[in-house]
Amino acid sequence: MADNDHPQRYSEQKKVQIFDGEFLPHIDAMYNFAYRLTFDEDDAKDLVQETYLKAFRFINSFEEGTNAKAWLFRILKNSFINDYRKKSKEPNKVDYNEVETYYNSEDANAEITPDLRVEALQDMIGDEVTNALNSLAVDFRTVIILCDLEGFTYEEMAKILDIPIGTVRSRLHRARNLLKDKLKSYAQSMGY
Amino acid sequence: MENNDKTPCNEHVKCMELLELILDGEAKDGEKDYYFAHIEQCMPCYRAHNLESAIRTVLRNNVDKKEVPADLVHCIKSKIRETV
Repeated sequence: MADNDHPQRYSEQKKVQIFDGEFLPHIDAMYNFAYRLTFDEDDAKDLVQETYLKAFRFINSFEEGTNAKAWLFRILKNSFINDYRKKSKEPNKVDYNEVETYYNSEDANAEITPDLRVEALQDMIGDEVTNALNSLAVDFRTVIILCDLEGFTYEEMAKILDIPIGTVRSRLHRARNLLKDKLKSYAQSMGY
Repeated sequence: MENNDKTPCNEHVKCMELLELILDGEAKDGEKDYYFAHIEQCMPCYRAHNLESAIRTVLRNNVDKKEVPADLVHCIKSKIRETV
């Protein structure tokens, strides 16, 4: 990721080369991330456009050959929080104190025998899985998208989300349990 | 297996933490060695491993993907050209 204390000085030609070669290849992942945050195609398009324009404007803060995808995701996430989340009706606030203590709680010990079955999962279609993911509060949804769909490491997620790695892990743990509860409900409705 | 389905694992919380690290590709070699030896002996942890693996597979393969609007790249590049 960029070191803001030591910005580069790229020529205009070099900026375009980095933009085309390192930023644009991630547009598919960026658009899907934006859509999964906003649930609106126009908002997702605007959010991605705004992110790329910011990325170009601040391209001197990006060190060529480093992790462009994580840098772009971080800009997109910040734009979403600043510009889109405020106007969203979704109740997104998560009680983080509850999340951080989760590993030590009795709830964590209670999940000894999960009664969701692998066979039930394998019979689920895309809509059911997508709906389960989309029904999570945005902060929980985000960590699952970053980790399980986009394959970011804990360290990359910590940088994208501006939170410590311990918080990434506990939020991810809680998010997965919530997702499992949703999938279990679908499985029960399918007769498992 | 020494520990069958009806016997709870007495290290389950530790195992579940390791399970997440392993499936997320963040476990160290020693943690992997301990964990994979353990799930060969412990049915509840073995079942949890299979379930968590299946959830990640289902997420990767079944969550709907959106097509990027055809004009998006063109729009972005036009706006950038205006600013340069």
